[in-house]
Amino acid sequence: MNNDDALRMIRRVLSDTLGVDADAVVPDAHLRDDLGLDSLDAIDLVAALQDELGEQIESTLIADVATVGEVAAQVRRRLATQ
Amino acid sequence: MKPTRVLVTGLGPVTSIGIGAQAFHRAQLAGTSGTRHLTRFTIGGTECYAAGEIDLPPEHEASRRLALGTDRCAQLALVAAKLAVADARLQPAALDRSRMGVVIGTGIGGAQTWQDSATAMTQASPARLSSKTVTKAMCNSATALVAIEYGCMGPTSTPVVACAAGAEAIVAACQMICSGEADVVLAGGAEAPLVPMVLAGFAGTRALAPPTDTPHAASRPFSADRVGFVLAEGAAILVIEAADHAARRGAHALAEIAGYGRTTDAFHVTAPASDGDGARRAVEAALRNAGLTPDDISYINAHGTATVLNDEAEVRALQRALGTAAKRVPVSSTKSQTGHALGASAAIEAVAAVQSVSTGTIPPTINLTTPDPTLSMDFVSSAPRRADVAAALSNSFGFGGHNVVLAFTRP
Repeated sequence: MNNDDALRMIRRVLSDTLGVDADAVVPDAHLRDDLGLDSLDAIDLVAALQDELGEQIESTLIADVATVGEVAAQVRRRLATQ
Repeated sequence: MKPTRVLVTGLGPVTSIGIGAQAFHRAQLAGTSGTRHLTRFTIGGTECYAAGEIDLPPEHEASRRLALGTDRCAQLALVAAKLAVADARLQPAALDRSRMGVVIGTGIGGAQTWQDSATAMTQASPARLSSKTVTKAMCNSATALVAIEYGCMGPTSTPVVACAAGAEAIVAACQMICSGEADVVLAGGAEAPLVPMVLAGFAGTRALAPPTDTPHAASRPFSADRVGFVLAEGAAILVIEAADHAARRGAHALAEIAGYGRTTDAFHVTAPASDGDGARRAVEAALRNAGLTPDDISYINAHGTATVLNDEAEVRALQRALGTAAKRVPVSSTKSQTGHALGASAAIEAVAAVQSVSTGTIPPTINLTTPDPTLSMDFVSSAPRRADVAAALSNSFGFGGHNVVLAFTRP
């Protein structure tokens, strides 16, 4: 998965999980402040990423990031270490 | 109820015949039927049940974000609360929100969420449900979300007494105000039962009107050929307010809640007690509590489900509670138009009763061309009636034998 693919996937998953417009899911968007992510959304987001990537994703992957771009970076980093 | 006077200062009905106080009132007086062939789903064969479905206009439709975290039951309640708050010209941000309460009753809560979750449990492997499953489905979801929306930080609660839940909510609101806990309470009921397992469940009780070719005429309270109730979705919130608080903010009072009566049949989970004894005692208790006599009552908004048993027991109860006045008091059933929205119905009908007081008009029972000859009362049918309604009662009786009667008077 290249950078563009990862970002595209993250945007789709976030849009579906948070029920927000895909156009709002830009790399700089803050998950909590801009997209309204709360603690329950975070659980569903991790589950959705697991479905997408077919593997266990630790909830810390989301806990330590603030923006859409950072989620994408974490996912790419994780895929690269496999 | 005394000494604090409790007023109704805003109405937010969301029903199959109209959304918002004006639209609902107009539809009531026009004799509109809100029941049609069910479009959401089918069960069994090709025959189709009638249902009171609501088509929310775009401005009231839940956003995708809201829809992910809420059941339709809470979504309808949020619309009702928005309409009620606007109708009362209430500005929560300008009020002491630690003295604002919320009480929204329901019969079932998030039925669609439970049904979808059950389906997901059997289809997904491994079974995994959304983190929001419980908070969507729980019965107090509507109460919680309305409190969050308006920042109501006073007392909140969720009565679950079947079809009397909306009236029980209004009683709770009165008590919160009279006890000094709250100045304003958003109170009512919400229900979204148009879900296969709920419809099938009610069909199983034989209380539901069977599939029909004439869905608009399926709900026929007090009619000789009544066949049961028509399931409906809906919500209604009333802004219930202490009189001195309403006066301070210059609010317009639509009606006073003069009192209420509550009893329990302690007899059977669905069948009313013989001769409507529990209902009779509730009507008598409401009159006593409100300091009214049968001669003071100008209108009764009946529970009037159109089941054989309810309508007969209710009329017997009214005849015994009102004595000679029973011959002249006009009676009608809102469920003839809206269908039966279970835990929301009593709140919807409280709106109708308040509007009878505030406008001097009594809405008709539609589909009542041939009244049951054994039920003799002054049924308002086919057309609305103008009347000087100084005091109105609203009856609500729930499965389980819960009886709640509300008394509204001119403020």
